[in-house]
Amino acid sequence: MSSGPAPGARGGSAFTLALLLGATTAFGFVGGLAEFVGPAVGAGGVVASAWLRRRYGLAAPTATLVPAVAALGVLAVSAAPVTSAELLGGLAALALLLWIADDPSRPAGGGRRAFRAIAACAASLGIAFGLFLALPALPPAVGVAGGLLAFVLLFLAVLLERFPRTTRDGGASA
Amino acid sequence: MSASSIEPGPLRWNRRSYLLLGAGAVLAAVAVPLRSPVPLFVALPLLFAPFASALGTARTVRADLAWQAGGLGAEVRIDGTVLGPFRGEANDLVVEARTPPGAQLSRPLELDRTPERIRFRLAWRFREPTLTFADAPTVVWRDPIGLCERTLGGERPSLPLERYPPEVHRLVVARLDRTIPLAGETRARRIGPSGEFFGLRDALPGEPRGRINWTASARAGRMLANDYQMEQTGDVLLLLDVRPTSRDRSIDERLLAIARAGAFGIAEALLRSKVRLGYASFGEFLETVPLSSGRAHRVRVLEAIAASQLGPVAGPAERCAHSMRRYFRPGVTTVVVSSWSDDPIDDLVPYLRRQGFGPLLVSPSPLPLLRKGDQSADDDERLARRLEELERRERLSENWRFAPVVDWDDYWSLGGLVRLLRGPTTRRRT
Repeated sequence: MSSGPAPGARGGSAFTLALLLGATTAFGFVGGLAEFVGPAVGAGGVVASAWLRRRYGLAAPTATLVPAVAALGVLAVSAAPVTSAELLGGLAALALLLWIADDPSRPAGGGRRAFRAIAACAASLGIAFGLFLALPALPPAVGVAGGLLAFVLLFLAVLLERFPRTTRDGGASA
Repeated sequence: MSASSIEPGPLRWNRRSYLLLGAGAVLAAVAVPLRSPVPLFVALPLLFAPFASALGTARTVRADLAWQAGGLGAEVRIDGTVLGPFRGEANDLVVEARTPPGAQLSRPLELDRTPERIRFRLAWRFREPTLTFADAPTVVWRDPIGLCERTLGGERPSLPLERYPPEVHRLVVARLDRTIPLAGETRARRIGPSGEFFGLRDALPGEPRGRINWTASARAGRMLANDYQMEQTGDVLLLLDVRPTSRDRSIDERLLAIARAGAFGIAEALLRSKVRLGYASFGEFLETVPLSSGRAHRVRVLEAIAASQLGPVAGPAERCAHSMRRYFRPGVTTVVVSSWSDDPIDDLVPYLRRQGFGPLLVSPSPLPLLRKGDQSADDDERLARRLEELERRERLSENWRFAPVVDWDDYWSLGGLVRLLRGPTTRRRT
């Protein structure tokens, strides 16, 4: 199995980039910024991050994320509190995680290997959003708290599954 | 290669994690005054991602590493292997190699991953002769998103890297003085009637019967005799000057690194030819390894050379010469490797001469280190450099009253020293 970036794949896979671009652009459309400004901000941040990753991805991997995260933050803060914006905001954040996992400086298939971690985040987001939709009278913080609780339970379950339980008795054989 | 084992490191988040956590925290905080749930839903995956990454903590916690150096001249090619099994995590393991001081990366790290092992290759290029120990690369597990990481434990042997002028290998046939038990000049290697088998030659009239190779003679149809290679030892003392000078400390450090590499090459070549070799380094005080030969002594000397560091204070040259008399007999051929400051009072050679030693000064020149580069040199600068060289040569030549001097300004060549030691006029007995 060969490693390292595939030739011509310095920017990561086109699929994750397109997914992130689509999610942030859609989030920009439903956000609170003026027409075309929101999509431009979202797409601009993603394109800037992709360009930085292609140019300086090996030297400063963290800095390449800043434009995309900043764009997402601007769109989130300016968005009107409507259901579509809430859903698209969460999906854009998940798409960002998938794009981060698809790092071209590492062996290909980062997105696939990161499936479990991203699925855990998606499950928490789903629970939070479901609670928010099911109980509209409650403030959204309750939904977020529910998601947080679900995530903590998931975390504990994985920890218990991962580390072997020790027994105190000596286990003497007959 | 000295073996050392390290324990697995703790799981830690990297900067990406803190960026996502910070962004998520800011969005969550902003959501409260805005009374908007949108920042909260965007913040949720960003806040959870570092924890979710930690869920997939490495199953592989130990992986032994083996590596070796190859290449010729200034180029050092590194070839190594990280041994698994990796439990399906080979693609999440990263090998990080640190370039040793004085080296430049000439071929970037290449990894070849299989489920059982990770093979890595890279190359460094040293600007100057070097004797150093390269730290073993670290093997890091990094989660698939790249938010948290953990250093794997296992065997991490450091790798000795030595690059010195190749000409010093010609010292194996140097003529050397024996100080004890029988004084006199002798070749380190000689073809003669005893020793180890060297080859066949036509027998001379009156050849002793014991030297005739009867089997070979019968096969060839003429009388053939055996030649043997006899190895005889001479004595050499290597004295490394580790005193600081008035120059910039970084220049002193680099000059000492070059001197150390040169001393290493000389010691290795001479010890290989069964020469009795002693080693001394003089900073503020003298530290010595007595004259001896053999494999164990080779390791002892090479470790002492590698451990020699620039001293904090310069001791007086007279102290060095007096101390030398306490540890070594006078008359021994003494190769002084010293960057030689301009102040005559710091010069070791006259004092050693007065104490009865036969010194030979090898002086790495600081001038190539002080130059910025040949490409940018205009006529005036070239003239200034030439004047500097002539001035240094003029000052060094004053030492010829006491001992032969080798101006070591081309760091990848020690031809001057080889010619001096191999030549017939090497006798410097007092």
